[in-house]
Amino acid sequence: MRKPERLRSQPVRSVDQAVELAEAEREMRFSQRVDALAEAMGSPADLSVRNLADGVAAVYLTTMVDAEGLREAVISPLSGVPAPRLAHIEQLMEFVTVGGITEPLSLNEAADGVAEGKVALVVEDRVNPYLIDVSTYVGRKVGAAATEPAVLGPHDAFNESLQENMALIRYRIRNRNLTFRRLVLGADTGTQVLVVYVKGKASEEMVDKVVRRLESADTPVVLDTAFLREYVTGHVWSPFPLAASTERPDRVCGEILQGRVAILCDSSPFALIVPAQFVMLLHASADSYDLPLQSLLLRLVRVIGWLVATMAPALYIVVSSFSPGILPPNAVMSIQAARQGVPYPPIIEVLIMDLALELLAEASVRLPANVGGAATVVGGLILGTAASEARLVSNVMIIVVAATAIGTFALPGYQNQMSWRLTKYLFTAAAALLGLTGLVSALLLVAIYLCSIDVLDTPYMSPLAPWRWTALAKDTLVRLPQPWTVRLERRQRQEEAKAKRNAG
Amino acid sequence: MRDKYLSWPEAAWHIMQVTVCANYLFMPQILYQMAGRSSWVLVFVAALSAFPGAWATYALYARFPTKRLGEYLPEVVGRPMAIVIALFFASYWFGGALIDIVVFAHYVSTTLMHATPMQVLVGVNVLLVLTVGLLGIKTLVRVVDLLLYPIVPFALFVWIWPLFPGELDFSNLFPVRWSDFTEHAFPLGMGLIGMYHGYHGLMLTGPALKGGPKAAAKAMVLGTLAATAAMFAFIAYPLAVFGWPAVTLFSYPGASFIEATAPPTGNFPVRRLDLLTTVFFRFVMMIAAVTYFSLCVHAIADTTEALWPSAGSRARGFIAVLAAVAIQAVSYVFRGLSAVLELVKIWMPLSTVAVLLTAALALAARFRGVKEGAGNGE
Repeated sequence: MRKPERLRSQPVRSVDQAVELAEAEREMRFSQRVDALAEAMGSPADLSVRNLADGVAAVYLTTMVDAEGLREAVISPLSGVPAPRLAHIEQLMEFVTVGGITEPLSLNEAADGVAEGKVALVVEDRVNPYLIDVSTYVGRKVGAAATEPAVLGPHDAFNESLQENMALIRYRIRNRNLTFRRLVLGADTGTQVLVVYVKGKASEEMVDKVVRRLESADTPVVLDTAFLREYVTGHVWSPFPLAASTERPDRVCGEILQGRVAILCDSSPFALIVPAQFVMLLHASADSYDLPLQSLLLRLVRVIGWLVATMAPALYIVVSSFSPGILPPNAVMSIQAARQGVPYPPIIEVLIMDLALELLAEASVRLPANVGGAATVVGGLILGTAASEARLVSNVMIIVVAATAIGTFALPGYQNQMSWRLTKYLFTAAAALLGLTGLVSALLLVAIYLCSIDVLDTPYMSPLAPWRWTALAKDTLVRLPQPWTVRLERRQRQEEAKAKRNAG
Repeated sequence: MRDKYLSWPEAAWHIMQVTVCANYLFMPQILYQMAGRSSWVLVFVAALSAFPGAWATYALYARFPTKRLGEYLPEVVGRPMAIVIALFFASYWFGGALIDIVVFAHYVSTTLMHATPMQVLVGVNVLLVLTVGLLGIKTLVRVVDLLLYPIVPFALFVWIWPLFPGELDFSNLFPVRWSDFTEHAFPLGMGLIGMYHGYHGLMLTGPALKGGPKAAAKAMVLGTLAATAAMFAFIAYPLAVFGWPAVTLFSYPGASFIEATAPPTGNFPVRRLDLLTTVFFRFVMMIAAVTYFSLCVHAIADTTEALWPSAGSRARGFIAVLAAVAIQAVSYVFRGLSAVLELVKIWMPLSTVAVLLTAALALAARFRGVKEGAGNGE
């Protein structure tokens, strides 16, 4: 797969300097020019210089070009063609039929092109070489989603090729309003970044804001879309993901069709979707493929999982240390009986087991897939049983930690899980200090913080707060059947237009 | 131009919540003491008494739809009086925030956290209120919106459940006697004028309201009527459950009433309902206390900014922190619930004065013909 034409602008240079450089370059002889180009590239091991005819040479990186394309498009048609017949680009086009032939303004620019996988064709008596795009993509092909698997719906996922990722979106949205705005970011990496949206769905102000923020990002390195997250959202220390990260093209398409903006970047299999909202964190891509009532059930399960994941350890502390009376007497007696002989207060119990859980979760990420599952299950069982038998923790605590783990992993999205794992510690600490009052206070503090966040002028807690009834009814806890959703979307657009008119 | 982000149903919900929350924790007990068995009738009388104050707030909003109280005061009454009136309103709202924070801390102390020092409980409440105060009005409005989801199911449970187990005996509400009202006629009358004053929230959120004066009128009328219905349940239900005079024996009749009407089975998962009531009362405290606190901070900051533009823009955060520290410090004085109720007795007449002052401001604005964009020269 060929890479797209490079659009990076040259560093600003004064006219005098440019003229001087051009003079110097003109004075170079053919072989000097080839050597200069190789030198500008740093003469790497994969640089190849191939003489095609007298006074014609192709300079390229063997690792970056498509060998077959090179042979068919450049070497075969140009072998033996004398240099004077290639003096102008029109003449070259008679021999080379591939698109993407450009004339760089300097040797430096030509070197940049070679670094991107293009072939530099150095021709005697021409000041600068031609650049012919026969670059290839070295990496994995489109595969199944590894981090967001789904039972129903498409299984393909983005890979590290920007071109292929673009294609995966294009295949799904065959609409001329689908727009890709290309930027080159990262002074050191020169990474291509695409801002993807559907004209007429995403507000122009939002798109402009995203582009402006990306253009002003002064990061020298962009190796993944994650490097751009803080620049786009404008929030640096938020523990909650304000831009959703996904490797599923169907999710990206769904979101941009709802007016959001996606950001793709070269060498990254993850797209960023902005603005993210709180309710998105309880939605999985697969919800769209289930029946509405089934997705309601699954979302309810996730909400319960979220509550358990964040609050179960804190509630355990509340019940066992502060307010046993909130449970029926039998349940309280069971908990207290299970704690007999445990030498620590409940908070230490919780911290020991939470730490063990974090270690197991981290270990399962690092271990190879074929042993990771077994190791964590064995580790969990042995550790839990042994700790309980040694009376280091109570049996009830093992149940609480297991429920916490299951609840956490029921949440969609790795970053989402991590955010709530962090929040769990705040709730646990608050409950340990002030029992139920502390827990409720911490809950309120988190709610207040979430309510204060705006991502690209969109309230993070919308449609819950502020109330947006149409959006709330359409796809929050219940995903309405498609015909109703379409009707509601139409009404939502009318309401928005009316609101705009009123504001005007 | 200011961002219009508040719809009228949101404004109505805010007004209702502030009204209910401002009264819920202590008003039932005060009314039982002053009007006995007939106190529930006063819920409706107070709604009628609220409308002059609501009209005055509406009239001021209609004249200054993009300004808060502190911003238009200098135009209505001139600079020196603006400072005096702003300080009065700020003190009144400061008192409201203080009472809510301290009453809730006492409630938590007597029901859940006996061993925790009162200052810690007050400090936690102050932290919450200050956080919202610093994050701004938009955050306040969203927090109020968000509280719809826990409050509505809880309120429905509290109102609908008791109708089924047959704990409510509405004959306990009767007979209503005229003499019940005449004994404390003056303080009752004064108290009723200021009882439903949640519409003051519009002095804070008005500039954000979409739809102009018509939306403001809808929000104030519906918010106050909804608060009336809620207060009726909170005052009449405990009376119906416990009867007269037993209802006066409870410190928090609402909470006791919930316990009395909870499902009688021992296996009911949350038998004592501490979790629900504590969570609920925390939300209750939050809305009123945060609104009072923000009103207080903005009354000072906006007036300062209107009079001294260079100083005012930086003042809000400083004033918020100062007010929070002041609440924490003043709360040392109120060492028992009875001390807080003494403060309430001072604050209730202030509430009446605030309503009358609002009406006076509306009339002054009308007679002086000042309104936004009219080039009033201040």
